Amino acid sequence: MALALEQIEQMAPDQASLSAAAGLRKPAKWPLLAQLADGALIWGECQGSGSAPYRTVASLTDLGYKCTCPSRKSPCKHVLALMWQFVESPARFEAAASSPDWVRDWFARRKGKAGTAAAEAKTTVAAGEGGAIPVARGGKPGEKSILLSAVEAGTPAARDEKAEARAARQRERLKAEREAAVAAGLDELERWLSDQASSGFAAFVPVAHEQCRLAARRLVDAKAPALAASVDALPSELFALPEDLRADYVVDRLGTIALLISAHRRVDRLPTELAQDVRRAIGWSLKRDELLADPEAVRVKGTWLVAATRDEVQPDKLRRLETWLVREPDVNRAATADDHRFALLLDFVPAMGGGGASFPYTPGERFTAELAYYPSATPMRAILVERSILEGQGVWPAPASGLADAYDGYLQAVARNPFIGEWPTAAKGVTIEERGAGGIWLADGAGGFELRIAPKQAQALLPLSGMANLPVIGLWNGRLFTVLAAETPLGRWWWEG
Amino acid sequence: MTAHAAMISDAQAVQLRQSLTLGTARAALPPLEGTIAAGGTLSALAIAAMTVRFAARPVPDAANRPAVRRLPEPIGPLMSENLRASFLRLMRVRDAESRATLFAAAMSRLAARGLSLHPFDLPALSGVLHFARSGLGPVERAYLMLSGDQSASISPGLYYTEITSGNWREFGKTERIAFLRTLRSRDPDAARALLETDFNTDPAATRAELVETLHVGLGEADRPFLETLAQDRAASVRKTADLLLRGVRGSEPYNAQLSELTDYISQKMNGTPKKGRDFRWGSPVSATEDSTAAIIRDARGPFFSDVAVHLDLAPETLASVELGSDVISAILIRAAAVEGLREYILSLGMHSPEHDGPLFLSAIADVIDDWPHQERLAVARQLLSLKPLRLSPQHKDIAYAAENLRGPLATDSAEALLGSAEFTEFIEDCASIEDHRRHGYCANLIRLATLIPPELATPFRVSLDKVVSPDAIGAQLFTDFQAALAAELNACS
Repeated sequence: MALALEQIEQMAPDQASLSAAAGLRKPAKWPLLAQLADGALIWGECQGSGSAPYRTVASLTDLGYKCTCPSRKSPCKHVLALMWQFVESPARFEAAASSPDWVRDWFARRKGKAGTAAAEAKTTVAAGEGGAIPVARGGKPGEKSILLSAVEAGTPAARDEKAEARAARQRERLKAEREAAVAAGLDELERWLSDQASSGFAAFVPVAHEQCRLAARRLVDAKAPALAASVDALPSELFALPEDLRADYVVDRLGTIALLISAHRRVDRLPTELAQDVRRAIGWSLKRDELLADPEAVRVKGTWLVAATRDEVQPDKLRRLETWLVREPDVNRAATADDHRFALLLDFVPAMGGGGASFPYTPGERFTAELAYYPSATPMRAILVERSILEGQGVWPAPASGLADAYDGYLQAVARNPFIGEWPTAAKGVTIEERGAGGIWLADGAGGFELRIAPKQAQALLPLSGMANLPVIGLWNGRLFTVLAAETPLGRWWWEG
Repeated sequence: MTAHAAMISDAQAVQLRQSLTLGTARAALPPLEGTIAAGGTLSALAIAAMTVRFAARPVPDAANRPAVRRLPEPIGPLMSENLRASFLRLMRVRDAESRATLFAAAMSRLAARGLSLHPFDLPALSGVLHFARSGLGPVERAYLMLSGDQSASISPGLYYTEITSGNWREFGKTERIAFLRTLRSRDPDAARALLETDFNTDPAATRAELVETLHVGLGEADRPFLETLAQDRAASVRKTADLLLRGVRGSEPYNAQLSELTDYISQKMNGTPKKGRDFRWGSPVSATEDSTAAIIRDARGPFFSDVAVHLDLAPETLASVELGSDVISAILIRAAAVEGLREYILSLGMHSPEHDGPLFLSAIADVIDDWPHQERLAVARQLLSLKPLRLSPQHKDIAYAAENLRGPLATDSAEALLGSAEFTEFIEDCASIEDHRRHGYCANLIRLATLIPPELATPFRVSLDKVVSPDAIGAQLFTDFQAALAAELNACS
């Protein structure tokens, strides 16, 4: 089916989307553009502001589409840019005999004509609501023009030095205000903690929901969003635990918050990396561009295996999208400290409206990439600097150590950075043991050491129960182990939780 | 590692924990030293957290550890990764009904080629496993059992790769019924003897279903046992026994049924009863007596040859008489099938007013189910060839065929179907219908996909391209799955 620019104009939810799409037509933004040989599907990968590129696919037969970006607009600028490029420069799209798995999966999951209908409905509403219609510069209200978008995208922003200086002063003032607000918020949180300690943690458990909600709201007001989210999530995490672990959990979590408050008050005296951990745990963030510009940031190149993807809706209504990577050892070179190194790509999208956002990668996928780590005493969170896709199954990144050594590695990491939540761990020679009402456990081969596995994994891990001598990758949070991947005699197993 | 050891003693750690649990207002914090004491409650809390983090892990008590529960080893070869990916894609189709149809069809294709499900996929498939009509293997059974009950230990029956007369009681109801049916087809007396042993130990509903298996190879030798069941304490068992006795020559229910049927046929042949009145059993066993399917299903006998004798006609003559009633034709087709007189089945169908192949197929489905696979398919294909399948959801043809054929159509039948005007019209309807009827068309498109033999997958797939609606996805994915399966078999050979 031949696609026309007029159709893309019709699909666009507003002029702003078209203008944004126009700016995305640069080949440098799209490391991958491809089309199915029969011309029915086109897809591509666009490097956006997230930790990983967005994957975008469109059907040319019925103009259905999907993008992994968190945009609330439908279609988003990536879809529009993909189609636009196809109309303008189809030669940029590599012809493929078959589509990759993520495209086929999208195809399998399509639900009727919902996507197209929604886009059509959106267009119709936009054209009918006078007050809400965006006014395109030089155009009529509600009018959407590809020509105008291209002109807008090519216009360089006028530079105003005075305005920039004013903005810099404003940023400094806001920063100082925020520091003061956070300090006051933490003072209040200390009083809250003292109250809980005074009345006892046994009395805290039944009122945890109410108490934590209250404390989290105040932390939001105090501009400490990360700590607010952490406090807000405490009750749901608490009640998801087996009962015998709950008392330890309360002591651990509230005690760690106390330690964070103390650490923040002495942040100037902490080692630089740990200070960054403390500030990030409170809610200060580092932008992608700042990290890329940081010459001190740890950068690691190599072949990375996607060990797991996890999607959790937080109590603050944000979806937390985690992609866990592990670096494959290079079989052609001597072992290095970066072999088996882990990394976490993390994105947050609104739970409502950003519902279209999904993972760009699937567990088991591999790619060669350079990663830049956020500064930390235990660097883990990272962003992709550059990347290329690899086909086939690589070497399983099995470490030389067993479960007890892996556990010691966790303790050493906590000693360096006590604000670690979950810690990725790889161990060899373990057995997954499903013991019915006795729970499910990860045991070393000798039977001398074991870690309890999260009960929610019991059914998924049943097929692996009893298999001996497995190399596994997982997350340990100090109480429960979450198995992310395992190499077994029946093939590789991936957690799709 | 005990990092706190340098800062507080073990006794202080215990007291600290107790204070925090009960509340420092009631149980004072232990006296702490130096910087910890200066930090007040915050420091005490932080130290308590670190004692939890760095506490030594308890040594496992191997002696009192509950037994590890595990699934049996897979029996057959597993699907390749490519085929597995294609299969799992099929299982992601959104509509639950379509998914069940696709799963049952895919499982029958896999079973026919001796391939097993990958055990890692069982958690994702737990919602559809029970749609596998041909029975589940020990791995799937064990998974369903263990995943459903945390306290259940694995039943010994789940470890058997084969169910036998010696171990059949260890298995669940579904497997026992399937086993008895198979045994009946080989050795009816042995199966009945097995059933009679410990018959009363099962619940009434299970006993009724086990007795129902006697319809396979039903004969006069079963009569004494069935007549004793007429006195059974459970109504469901008595009812099942009575139905079965209708199929035992010489029994009272059999003779009554034969007489009722032949009286009606005689009247038909003589021009009575009046036009429009079709056959019904005088005393229906089924509560749904108005249902044509129930009328046919309740016809447990009589034998085709007995009907012919009773009417004083040669069997071939009876098979070619124009009776003007699809119901009577279906009952006679069933009677011929019960007796194994396959040569009359098609003739009866041809002389039926509607030549309704799908109706006849559904009438005899449970009888031919026990025939050898090839014979079952041959008869089913013959019946379906009486009239081209009607594809629109207003008719049950596709549903009957997909349900009862359990495999693809013969190549020539499928070719004729794909070349028919009915098919062209159906595809056009699938592409154009937008209202609530679309769901029915989508379901039939998927059922149709399961009836297309692999060698015609490509032209069928091309036809689907005309249906731009994503509703065609299930059908497209099934043809892709068939292609992947064929590729895997080619690679193996």
